[in-house]
Amino acid sequence: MRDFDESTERLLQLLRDRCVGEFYKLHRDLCIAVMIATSNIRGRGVVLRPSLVKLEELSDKKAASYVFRKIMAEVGPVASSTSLKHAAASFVFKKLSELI
Amino acid sequence: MAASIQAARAWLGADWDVYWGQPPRGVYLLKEAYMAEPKDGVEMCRGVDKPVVVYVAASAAGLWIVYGRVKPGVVDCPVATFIKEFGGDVKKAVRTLARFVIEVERLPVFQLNPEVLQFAGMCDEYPAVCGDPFDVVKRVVEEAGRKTRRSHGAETSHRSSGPGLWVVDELARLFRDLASEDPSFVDVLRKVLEDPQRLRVCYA
Repeated sequence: MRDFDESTERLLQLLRDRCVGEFYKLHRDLCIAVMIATSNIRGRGVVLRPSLVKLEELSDKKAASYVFRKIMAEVGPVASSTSLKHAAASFVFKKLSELI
Repeated sequence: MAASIQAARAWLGADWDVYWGQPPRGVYLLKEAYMAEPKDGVEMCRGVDKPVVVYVAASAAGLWIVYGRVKPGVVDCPVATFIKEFGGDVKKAVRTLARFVIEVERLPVFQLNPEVLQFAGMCDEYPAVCGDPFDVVKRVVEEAGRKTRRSHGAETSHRSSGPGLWVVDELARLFRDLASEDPSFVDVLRKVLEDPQRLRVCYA
């Protein structure tokens, strides 16, 4: 079963493709949320932890902990993969409305 | 999370009527992909404490705009529908329903139906939901590019803040690199600091 409708999925994939280099550095939190929303996580009891996404730099970890805090406030520390991805996508849409 | 009748009543206020039964025919506020099929609730509707399926419907300009988490159809659970007439004010009707969805139901904005938002003239409030995904990403990338150019521009103007002063920045960068590669170079720099005029004798 798909987690998102076609249009939202396309938007997330397009953003994921853009999340490299300068764009990634400028919008780490947005890109990390995109990574969570488009990840292959599946299941009912997913524990929110930074290792869900592959992070390399210290600044990534700082941005990730901010994103995780925001997601946790929405769905709690353990959630279904769909709720987790929806909360991450919700964060993405909030950031997008600030940016455009 | 589906709204209970009490939560819906509390948020909507007393000027909304409520009746037991299916909502009027109309356009749905949520995208179809995020609405459950009536048959999905069969198990849930079997128990003694059946949940109530709540719909909120607003009428504006002769059209019903309906919010509900379940697609219209026969369900074994009780169904309650809140209704209100908004006259010709489509925007107010849709805005009220959208706020209910976000604030009470705590659903993410991407679940809103862009066609309804467009019909209500609310795309400026939800640009990422209404816009074509490609255009939305293009706008964000362009904005990011502008930001990068601005910060590079500021850096350049900072560097050239005095005639020929860029060379001081370059020297600082060069000395920093040299000192980090070879710590003994720090002693050389210390001697320069003690008597900088010697540089003139050596290089002028």
